[in-house]
Amino acid sequence: MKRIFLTLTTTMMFLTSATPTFAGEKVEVKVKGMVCSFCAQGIKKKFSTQDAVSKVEVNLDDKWVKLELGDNKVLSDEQIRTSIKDAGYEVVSIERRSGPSAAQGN
Amino acid sequence: MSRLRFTTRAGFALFALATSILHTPASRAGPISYEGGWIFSTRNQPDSINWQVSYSPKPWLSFGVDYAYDKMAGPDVAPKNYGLLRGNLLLKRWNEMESQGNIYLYGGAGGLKTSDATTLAWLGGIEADWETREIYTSVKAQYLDSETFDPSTMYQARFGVAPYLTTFENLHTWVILEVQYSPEAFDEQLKVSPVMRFYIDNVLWELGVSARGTWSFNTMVHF
Repeated sequence: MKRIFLTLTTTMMFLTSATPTFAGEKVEVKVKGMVCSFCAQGIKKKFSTQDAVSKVEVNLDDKWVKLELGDNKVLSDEQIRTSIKDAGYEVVSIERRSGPSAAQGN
Repeated sequence: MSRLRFTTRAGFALFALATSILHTPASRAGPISYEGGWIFSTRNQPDSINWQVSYSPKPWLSFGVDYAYDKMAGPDVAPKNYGLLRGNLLLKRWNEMESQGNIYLYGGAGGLKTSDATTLAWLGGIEADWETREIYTSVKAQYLDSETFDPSTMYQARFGVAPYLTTFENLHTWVILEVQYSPEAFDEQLKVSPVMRFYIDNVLWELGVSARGTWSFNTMVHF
């Protein structure tokens, strides 16, 4: 019984390895030309097809697009600029904020 | 009926039909969507309908198909059916923090079918627009010709204001005044029409009425 418990505990420690895991990164993109929500639907469409993106938010007043990436997902600045350009707009700036990290084990 | 009278009336019918085809309810000038996007739009009036489908392989280019039916009721003018292949090109776009401006070129060719004959017709035009969140302006010039009928031109200007601003997800409203001048038109060469435009998400619709009380209902969906 004691041996089983020890084995289980060791297995759990191995599975939840020392490599830190990160919740989704948040990216704020400042965009030029975004004055019409009907036209800017293309931005949501383009990012919704990206596997790395779990959530898209658009603000016409402040001219930004906020992206929330999936856990451990990556979306490069180049990919972001391309998607915005394909939607018909231009990127002014990109700011990134990592989600809270959750390192498990040491 | 004399040949001149037939040509004039049929030319007007062709012009009116093509004008109904080429009027697009988009907040932007032409039917160009985001890359990979599709647009479906309709224009409906008491005596005519128009359907358009277009695909944008690039954010500066689209191809589409137009179909129109014009009743043109009367003893001398029979209903018309119009099928057209059309291309739209974004010549230039200005993206600013508070505005966007565009210049488009478009052209197409197709068949016009009347009760008497089927003829080849072609058209070309240029359109420009500039808008902010509060103001919308557009101008358009268009030329239409065919194998059989006299050529015709049309010039259009639109000015709109947003009575309120709202968030991306909510219903948006515009109040627009449209002025259209058609020097070769058989009747009503100058038209002035107020139009109410609404859109939410990817659906847009317009309600308008001309000075003569002719209603119009236009829709557009992009996906």
